[in-house]
This record gives sequence, structure tokens and C-alpha cells, in this order.
Amino acid sequence: MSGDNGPKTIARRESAVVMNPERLGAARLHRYSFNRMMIRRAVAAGWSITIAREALDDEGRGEVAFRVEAEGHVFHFVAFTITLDESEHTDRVISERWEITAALIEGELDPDTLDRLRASVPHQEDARLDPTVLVLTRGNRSVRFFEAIADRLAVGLQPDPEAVADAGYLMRSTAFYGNGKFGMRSFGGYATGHPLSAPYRAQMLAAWCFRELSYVSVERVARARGGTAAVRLEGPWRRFFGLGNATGLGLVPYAMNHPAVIDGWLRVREDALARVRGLEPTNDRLDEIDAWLDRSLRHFRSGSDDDCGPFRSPQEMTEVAHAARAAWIDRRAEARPFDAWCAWAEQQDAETAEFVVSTLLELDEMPDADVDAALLVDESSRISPLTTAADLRSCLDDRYGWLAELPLDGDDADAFLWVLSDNTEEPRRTPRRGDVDERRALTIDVALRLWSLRRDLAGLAGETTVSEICAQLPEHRFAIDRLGFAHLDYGEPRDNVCSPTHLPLQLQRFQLATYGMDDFKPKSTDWLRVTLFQGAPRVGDLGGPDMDDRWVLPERPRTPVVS
Amino acid sequence: MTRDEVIVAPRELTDYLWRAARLAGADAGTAARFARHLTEAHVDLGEGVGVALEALDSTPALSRYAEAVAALERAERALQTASSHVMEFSEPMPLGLLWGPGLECRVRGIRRPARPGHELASERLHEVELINREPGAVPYRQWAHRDGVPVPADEFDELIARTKSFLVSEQLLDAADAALGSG
Repeated sequence: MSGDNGPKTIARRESAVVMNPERLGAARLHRYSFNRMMIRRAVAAGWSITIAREALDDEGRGEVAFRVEAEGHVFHFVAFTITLDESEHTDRVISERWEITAALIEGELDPDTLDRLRASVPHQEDARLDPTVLVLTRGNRSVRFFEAIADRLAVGLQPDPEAVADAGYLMRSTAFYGNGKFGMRSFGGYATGHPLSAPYRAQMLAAWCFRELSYVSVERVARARGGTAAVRLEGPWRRFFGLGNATGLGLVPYAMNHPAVIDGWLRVREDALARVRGLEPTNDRLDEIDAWLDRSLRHFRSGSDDDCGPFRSPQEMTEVAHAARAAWIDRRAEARPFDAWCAWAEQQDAETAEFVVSTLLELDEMPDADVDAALLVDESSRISPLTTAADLRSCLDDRYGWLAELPLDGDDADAFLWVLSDNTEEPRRTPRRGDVDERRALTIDVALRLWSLRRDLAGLAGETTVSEICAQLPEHRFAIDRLGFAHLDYGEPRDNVCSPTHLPLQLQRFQLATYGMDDFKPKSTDWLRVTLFQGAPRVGDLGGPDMDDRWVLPERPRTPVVS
Repeated sequence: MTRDEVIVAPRELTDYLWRAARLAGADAGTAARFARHLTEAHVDLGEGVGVALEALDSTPALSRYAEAVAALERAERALQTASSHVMEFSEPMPLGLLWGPGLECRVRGIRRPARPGHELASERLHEVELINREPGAVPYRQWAHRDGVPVPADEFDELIARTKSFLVSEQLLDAADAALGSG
């Protein structure tokens, strides 16, 4: 089958759509999510990951190190594990003790290095690390499932699908620190061509190894309990479990502080969508969409019906996928079916629209190296001091008209400010007119600051320069510098994060989906649990035959398997 | 690494300098610029953290940094109609306070004539000549991001000590949350 007119050029979606908080809060993992990009790179470049050290006791406590050989570089993911009473488990980033603490380092793991890591990594934020350390992470076992699955494996049984219920993981992480924190190497320190020189690639590699640690640990415990009767996770269970993650408010300041980065992430996605919408409908492409819809339906249908509000549970997503498939079938024979399906989706609710977008993106064929390059952005704002008030006003009118659609003059528009807690520097919201000095606020009140600048510019002569404005009204320096990013279509979430109506979960979900996380389970307005690498190849599969990229959205195995 | 010096990632230095500048009373935008500029000075020249601490202590805080920025802005205006301009300082200006804003000027084609030898951020200058040239790029300091930069331990400790109060008590935040009944 072929279209009439060849590939058609379709414009990217407008900022008003893409940067709407509700749309950001419906984002889903896609072909260019960072964990999939990492695994594709690992496969394409022939990485290998092996266990370099395994010293675990019968309860799975001890040390494990994975050796990663990648494109002439050697890395080690080194984990230290203990067990804690369940009462000591917490998802909050502020916990002082973790069952698993780990680091990804570049270089060989000699005895001195191991000693150094033993002395520092378990202390997490209190440690002073060095630039050979790339990522620092930690987490706990899943209280409900680790023990139960170890017990099943110990007696020769694979997990009971009913008992597993919604468990997508055996261990749950909370933070993947990197980029210069605590003395670690900065992202900018990776040379061009370095295997980890793409955004979050080091964190994704660490997370993949962390997920592998969960398999190694549960199988070690099972062996200790069952001896020769014990079995490993096999068949459909072998790749089913991902790594859990609990995420709090830290993602919100990141999204608001890095407009060029956020624009880069979204530009990759939106450019790909525009290309796909313009594609001709070959049979392979049509079949690919059919296959992804089937896969999505099986995945959602086998998932839980837990309350995931304000998001949809997997069972509720089944309805979304059904409706999307019906609309796809209606449009499949059109001359431009991908565009027609996307246009239909744009008229639906946000969850449906973004589900269709993520599915369509599977057809894009942009080389990963080009995506990596597109994600490297210049974060500097260069507003000349000779820029005039008239220039700034014009910029605000042309690019920030959406500010007028937010209730920024309302009494509670600035109800909250964002600060860092003295407990591991966790970002928190707190009432602005409370006990906290504004000098301690994080500068993420972007909409308020731009709105205030706009108001004050109205009273200035058009030829007043930036240097003169800042001399008179220094509080506007931040907003003026922000206008240095005005040319970016997707840099500004159209939201006021200081408003009581702001829902942090929306920005969090957008970022988590970009990393490649799924199965969003909010636990409050401020934090949620997610899963990543569910269904992914195991690290030891590298170099093997079954490394197909279509591993996301796995179906929960249906029946117990007796080994 | 000895305890005489600490290896610090540039972004970490920027974070702490920003917090210190905020606590010293700088507006958010000026604090961000100060932090970025003094990090650049420390990475490129050395001794930038000491200069930053001194600038934070000026009265009012950051007044010398503001003076440096204002001088460069005046120079940029003058260089719209001249090929060179000399900035003069009644009180010698640490090069570290001029360095970062000067890099921004370089992007717009304004720079110092080439000079022999290495200069430190702490070097005091009575006057600085600026000339018009082709716009240039801000140097990319990959080595610093890869290896970190040494900072005298006493200065790094001082910086951290000054920024401790940027953090807000967890108990206070929990109490505010409880009062709001938020989750």
C-alpha cells in the first residue's frame, strides 16, 4: 500500500498543547525514552555486563559488583546490601538507612577502590565522593514481594501470577544522584563519543544494573532456602520484573530550572511525531501499529485496577487503548492514517492523546546518534545589557501570551514557595507567608516573575536598557535572563508552581516517562511510585539473540509455571 | 587529594555560591549570575572561591561584583562607537569579579587584548582595556567537569557553613504541612 503524494510535511504540535500541564501529566514512555536509548546503544555498540563480584550471605546481604565493558571503557556498578526491619523502610528520599546502596564508577574495581566505596557509598548524601563516581543510588526490597517470590523459587516454583498482582519489581530505588553532586563527575565531563555522554545514560545504566541486582539477590536467597530444589526466574518471568522507583518533588525544580533541556526532550518527541504523521502507510508500518496496540492491550489488561488517580490504572488504560484501537481501525485505510489517527487523538482526553502519540513514535526511524546530539543543549541565556524595555515587552507579548490565561493576579497565586529541607536537601513546598524567609526560596516561580516583569515594563520608557532596568528593579534580573530562552517552543511548562492548584504529579510524570518509567502510582499530590525496565532484556542477554527493542509494556504472565 | 584542598564539581560550586549570594541578600537573578561567573573564574583562573567569599562580605554584599558588572556594561555601550575602551577602578578590582561577565561580553565581540602569563582570580586591576573583535565562544571546560576543580578546604568549608541556613528545618516544613492538611 502506498499513499498518493509521498511523505508529507506536518508541523510540530503547538506549544499551547504540548506545554499544557495536563498533557505533560499524561506523557508516556516512548521510543526515545532514555532507558530504551541506553539499551539500544548497549546492543549496537557491543557492550557486555558480567558479575565481577558476588559476596552475599543466605539473606542476600553483602556485596555485588557488575563489570560493564563499553566501547573501550570499563565501569563497575558496586552495591552494598543489608536487610532492615520493614518498619525502617521508607520511600522518602530523607531516609537514613537503605537495604541497598550502590554506585556506578568508571574504572577498574581494585581493592583500594572497593574499600573507598565501602566507606562512602552506604552514607549516601553524607559521603564525599570523587569524579570516578558517576552515579550514587539506593533503595529497598519490595516488602510484599521479595520474600514471597524467594520462597516460591526456593521450592521450585515460579511466581504465582495472582499473588504477584501488580508487583512489577523486586526492589525499589529512590534517587539516582549524578552530575557533580557530592563530588561526583559532572555530565559535562563526558567527552564526545563517550558511551555515557547522552543525558541520563549513566543513571539508566546504573538503574539497569540495580534491576539485575534484584534478580541476583532473590535467586541467591532462594538457593539458600531451597538448596537443590530452588530454581531461577524463568520463562516469561525471567524479564518480567523491572526496578521500582519512588519519586518526590525534586523533579519539579528541575523541570522549571532547565528550559533548554526540557525543550530538547520535547523537541525530539515532537519532531518524531511530526515525521510519523507524514509517513506513507506501508504494510509494515500499519502492521507495526497493530502489533503495538495489541501489545499495549495485553499489558494493560494484565495490570492492576488500583486507584492511580489522578492518573489511570492499567485496567482503566485498557478502555483508552480499546478506544484508540477502534479509532485506528476506522482510519487504517486512509491515505494518511497516522496523521488522521493523531488528529482524532488530539480531540480526545489527554491520556488518550498521549497514548496515541507514544504508539505512533514507534514508527520513527531517526538514528539514535542524532537523537543523542539533539539532546545536548546550550543552557546559557545571553541577554545583552543593551536590550531595551521595548524589546522585552515585545518578547513577552509574542512568546508568553499564555501568562494571561493563568490567574496570576489572584490572592493565592503566590501561596507557596519552594525550599530545600535540611534533611538531605529534599525540595518541599511551604506557605509563602509562613515562617520561611524568601531568600531561601528556590527560583522556580517563573510564571509569577515573568508576569511581574510584564507589569513593571509597562511603566518604563521603551528605550530603557536592561542594565538600567536591573539597576532600578534588580528583582527582575531573573525574569529578564529567562527571556533568553523565549525562542524555545517547549521550554516553559504553562503552569504556576506556586499556586495551590498546581499538581506536581504532572511535571513528575512527564520527566519520568521521558526517562522510560511507567506504571504511575501516585501516593499523594507530591510523590509517586513507578517502574522502569519492566520486560527489558537482562544485562547478561547482551550479545545474545533476543535483544529486540520492543520489550516495553510486557504482559503479566498468566499461569504458574512448575519447573 | 589532601584535606588542604577539596575536589569539587563546578556545578556544586555554582549551587553553593548561589545559595550564599541569596542569603547575603542578592536577588535571584544576580545570585545566579554571580554564582556562574565566579565558578567560571575559579575554573579558568584559580582562587575564585576566595574572591567570591570576599565579594559576599563587601558592604553591601556583592557591591563590588555589581560595580564590575556595571563597568563592563558601560564599556559595552562605549564600544558601540569606539574600537577600544579602558575601564578604570578607583579601588583595584579583583579579576575574578570581571572574568565571568567578561566572557559574556566576548560572545558579543568584546574582549581584553591577549596578555602573556597566567592570571589568578585574586589579581587586582586598576584598569582594564577592552577592544572590539569578532564574537567568540565561552570556552568549554570539559576537564573541569570530568575531574572537578581543587578548592582550598578552608574556603570550601566556609562556603558550606555560610549556606547551611539556606536549608529549612524539616520539622518546620512538616508542621506547616500538617497545618494545611496536605499530603
